[in-house]
Amino acid sequence: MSEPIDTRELAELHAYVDGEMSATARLSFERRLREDPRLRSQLDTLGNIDRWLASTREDATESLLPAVLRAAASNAEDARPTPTLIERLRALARTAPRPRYLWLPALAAAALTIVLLRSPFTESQRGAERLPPDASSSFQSIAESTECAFRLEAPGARSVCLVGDFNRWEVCATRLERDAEGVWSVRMKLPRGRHEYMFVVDRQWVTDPAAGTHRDDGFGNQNAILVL
Amino acid sequence: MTAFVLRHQDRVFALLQRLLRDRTAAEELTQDVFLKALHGLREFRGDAKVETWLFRIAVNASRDHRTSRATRMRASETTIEDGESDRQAPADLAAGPERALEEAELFELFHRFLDELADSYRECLVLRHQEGCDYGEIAKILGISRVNAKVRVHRAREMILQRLRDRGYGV
Repeated sequence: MSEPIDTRELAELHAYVDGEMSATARLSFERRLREDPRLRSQLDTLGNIDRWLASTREDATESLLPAVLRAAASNAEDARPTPTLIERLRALARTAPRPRYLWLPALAAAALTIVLLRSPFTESQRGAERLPPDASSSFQSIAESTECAFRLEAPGARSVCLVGDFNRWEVCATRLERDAEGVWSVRMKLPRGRHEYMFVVDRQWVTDPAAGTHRDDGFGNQNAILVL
Repeated sequence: MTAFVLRHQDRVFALLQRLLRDRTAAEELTQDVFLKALHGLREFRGDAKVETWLFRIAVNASRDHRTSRATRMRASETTIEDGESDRQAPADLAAGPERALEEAELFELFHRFLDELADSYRECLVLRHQEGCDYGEIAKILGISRVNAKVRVHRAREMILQRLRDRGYGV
């Protein structure tokens, strides 16, 4: 029967899994991994933890936003005649201290994804068709709409969605189709005016770098701005 | 606010669902987390990621809920349902039926041992391995030192490994 792994080997396993080994130590450890089935077995198990947790990770079945808004409105009723909660929330959002370095870690986390994304662009052309039925009600009085093509080159992505004020920020209400070259695209008719949007690439929120203007959303990300 | 909730709700819900293993409670607490977050926006200092801040609110809410649930359970002298439920091991049939069976057993054992961990260890392991938080973020979420966060994650991994070894898996 083989010897159980000792404390020092456990510490090495943790450091390896956490990516905290120097390049030299990592190479040396990987040589030992090839030769030592005990270490390999333990490393496999640690590696499986991510997979096992990911495979049973659950998302909310639907947007919780309506319930949050209802609860917020209910709280606002209790707070009258002072300003409504929504008004206070808006005021809070305007006056909240802006996180100084908030989106730097987000950029770092998305670095691998960003590397795969190149030269996405947004184009628009005039059109005169009616608004889609699911368009935000705030746009319904605008008669003229414009057909826009949203494109993103992401050959490694498994799914790409377009999320913005025009679909009430519903994640993956608007899915892009992938062509043979790995360019994802969708066409939408949008009302004239100013829109904010982002892409969601494999669950990662990605700002369209090709958009002419971006706006800090106050929560650590940059929304792309599209003016029609 | 709409974008804020939609952007973060899945991760907050997934964390709460994992910690509580109760979908209804997780949904209710997710709503509470956002209400608390929106109320407390002024207190957000901006020296952490928004999700770190939301996770901190969520972890505290889950602790309150577990305490409350434990009190109710003691009062009614019932036992916690085991909730083996609907989770399914990831299929690995390409590796052969024996390997797939072993994988399924490992998967079930892992989740059982995860549930048996003390809250302080399970929180750390889930934040690290499910949510991908680094040790600094875990420390901020749980209000502990970075070293303590690291020690807890390591200890949680070692307890899982040890229990699997006791069942004959691995060394």
